[in-house]
Amino acid sequence: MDEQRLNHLMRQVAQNLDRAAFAELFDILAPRVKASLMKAGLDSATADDVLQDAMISVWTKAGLFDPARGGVFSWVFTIARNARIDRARRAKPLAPLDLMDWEPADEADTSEEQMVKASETEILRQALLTIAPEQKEIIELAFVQELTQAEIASRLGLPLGTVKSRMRLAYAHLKKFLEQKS
Amino acid sequence: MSVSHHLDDATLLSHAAGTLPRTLALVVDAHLEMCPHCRAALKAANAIGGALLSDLSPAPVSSSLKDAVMGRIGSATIHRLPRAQAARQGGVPLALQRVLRLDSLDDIPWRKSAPGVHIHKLPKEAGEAGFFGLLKIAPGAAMPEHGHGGSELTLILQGAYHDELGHFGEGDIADHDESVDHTPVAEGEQPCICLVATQAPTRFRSWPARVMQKFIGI
Ligand SMILES: [Zn+2]
Repeated sequence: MDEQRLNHLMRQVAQNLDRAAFAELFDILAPRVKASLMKAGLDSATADDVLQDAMISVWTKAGLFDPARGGVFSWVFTIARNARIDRARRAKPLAPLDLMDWEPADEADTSEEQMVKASETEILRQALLTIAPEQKEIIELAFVQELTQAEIASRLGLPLGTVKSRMRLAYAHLKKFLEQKS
Repeated sequence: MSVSHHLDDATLLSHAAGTLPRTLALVVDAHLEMCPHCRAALKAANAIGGALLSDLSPAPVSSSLKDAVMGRIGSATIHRLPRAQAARQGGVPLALQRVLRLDSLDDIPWRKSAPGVHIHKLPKEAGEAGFFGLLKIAPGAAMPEHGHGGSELTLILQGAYHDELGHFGEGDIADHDESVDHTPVAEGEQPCICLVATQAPTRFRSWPARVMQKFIGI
């Protein structure tokens, strides 16, 4: 995945409302967002609805994307997650807050924030290869299958405390990896 | 405001994954507004989601869906600039304003539950268990027994207390598995106002939640 290219396309969309750039972004992002929605257990029609919402948000919110604060994939991940939650709540709208919507632009980078830069996606992909399998499993159940902690515990037949502690270990491991590599 | 009690990493990851129950997620959002440290940590957690997303094998997307999106973006409203940072008027975080529908903690229609304890329940949706609401506890309110329970988040909006886990002041969030054994002490003159969400009707850990349980029997 060429993050520089992704950043370039995002900039074209944000600054010039460049439809060709958006079409190229669509071809890279939409099939992966679709895959994530299917893995989260949505049926195909609902997944398509959420996917449309998400991709339109990519267009309308492109100007809020800041590559200094994180990669395109982590931004799109949050867009798709929020689109999924919004759709599920349509009857009683309560959209999750979007940090990018209200965070002051001049907020000083903390050290933790500095590690989340444009190459984060690649670093984390590598880091995920090094994580203990039982931690990786829980991270995937949380982020990809979108199970709650309690659901993960019952799926794996583990105490809730074990699920939480594996999540903490996984996060600590990935964070350390990011700090070393950046 | 100097926040010293933060979200548990497991809570943070579940929030990033979008799988926290709504009431807990709302308390987390309110804390995030008040806490640059947890905002930075959330970005790292979101990046994990991004890396997993980029690793997925692409699923087929129909050309008609792409055409529909390309058609709809022509008339979509562009978000140009970030909204100005939430004005936390009257001590009410934005996330809370959206369910409280009040601009000031002073305007909350408290209901007295016990001497020194006031409560204001927030609307729950069908199927949501546990407690979701605000508590106002006067300095010196009694200290109930401790307990263990399910997920529980308590965010301090005003005032302060301390127990053996430390000093909890404005912006601090109590998100811990441990039980609390020592008698907590309210600090200062003003009442302690907290936003509390619990997942199950069970025994609580933080002092305000336990006060609530003792007097309100939730
Ligand atoms: Zn925090």
